[in-house]
Amino acid sequence: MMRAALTAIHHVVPARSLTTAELEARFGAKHVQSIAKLSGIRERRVVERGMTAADLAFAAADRLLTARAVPRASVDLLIVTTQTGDYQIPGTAFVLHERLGLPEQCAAYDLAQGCSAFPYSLAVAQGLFATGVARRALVLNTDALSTILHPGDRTLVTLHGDGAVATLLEPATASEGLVAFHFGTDSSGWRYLCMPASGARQPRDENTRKEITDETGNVRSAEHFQMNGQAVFHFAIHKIPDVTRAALIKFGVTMADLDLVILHQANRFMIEQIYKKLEVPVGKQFFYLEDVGNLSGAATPAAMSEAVRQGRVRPGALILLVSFGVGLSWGLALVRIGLDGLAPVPASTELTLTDPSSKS
Amino acid sequence: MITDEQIRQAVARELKVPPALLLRDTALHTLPGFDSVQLLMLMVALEEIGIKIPTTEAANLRTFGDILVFERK
Repeated sequence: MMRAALTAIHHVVPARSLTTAELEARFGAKHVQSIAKLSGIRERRVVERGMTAADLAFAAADRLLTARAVPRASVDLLIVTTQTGDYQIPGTAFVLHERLGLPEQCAAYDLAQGCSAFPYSLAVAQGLFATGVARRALVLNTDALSTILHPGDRTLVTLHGDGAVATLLEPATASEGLVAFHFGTDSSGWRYLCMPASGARQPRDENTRKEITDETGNVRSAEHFQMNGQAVFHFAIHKIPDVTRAALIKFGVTMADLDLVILHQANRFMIEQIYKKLEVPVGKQFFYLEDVGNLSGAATPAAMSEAVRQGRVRPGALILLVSFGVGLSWGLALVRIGLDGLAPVPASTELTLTDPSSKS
Repeated sequence: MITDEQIRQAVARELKVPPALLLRDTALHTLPGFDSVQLLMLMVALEEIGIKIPTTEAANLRTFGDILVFERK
């Protein structure tokens, strides 16, 4: 059975930075400093008007394919994960399939899995390698959550940034590849991360546009993305350590076998709590949110990409990826890097509106 | 078993407020200087003294009395 290996990864964030100083002017210094202290986030990269999550994904993919001289005609699978697609219909994968110049025989489709997107999209791709459908896949995880937040939602605006990651998957050799996966769902919590008036259940009208200020001062309407922060935080620091321990047993590996444990980059305090419970040594921890914010579905792969750029991923490394969020869902992937290593893609990780790759 | 007074002291310490402010019906968001971040810190602090609140209950945590109720459950 053919398995897939992760052979290249590259991330892109908007050049536009929303600084803590800007947010202090909007929300007041005390609140912003309080969240910054907990989250470890100093800046968030956010799209400008005219730039979308698809633009970020296109830039990441285009730069990766160009830098690695991958013939576009050879890509036979494109999976795009996003919660902020260009259109409700069609899926963003079709838009990007055209822009990237991918061939007709390339299957293209969207998955919507929120912050858990990376392991799920890798697993789906792995399945299509195993069935012989795919031999060279492009997985694009992209979100621009800043576009669906109320500007007065001082908690979410302070935490979230926008970004995209392109991952190239190719047939694995015996010593590398996507090794194992572990998934789960606690659907009792689907309301905790929700955009109520975003589909058929609650059509948009004058009522859904009404702004509501909650007891901690966050302003939002039913047309904006909402989070019950205390519930999601509680889920993350209790459920995720438990399911990670279960996954390691299922995978037949111990913490000592792992070179790096990359968690969803939600906020630093949450990540530290999970690392602490799992007793992950400092040398196996990785953070990538201080200068970009929580990139939602792109957060885990962006951390992986940044770890590659910082030389933290050695040849032959065994890496555990742990993503969680909307649903409430979780997904874990165990990845073995090839003995040749994973070199950074020699391209910029920033996108501006004037960049040629931002033009659709 | 953890007493109400022990919980009151722990919450007061974490939220940096006088214990006397913490009555059963005290809404946490009305406490001086309270913000959503402190609530997250509080959940970790409660766990460290042995109070485990289910996620569904954590979603509705509003008053000091809510914490006492969860502990008694």
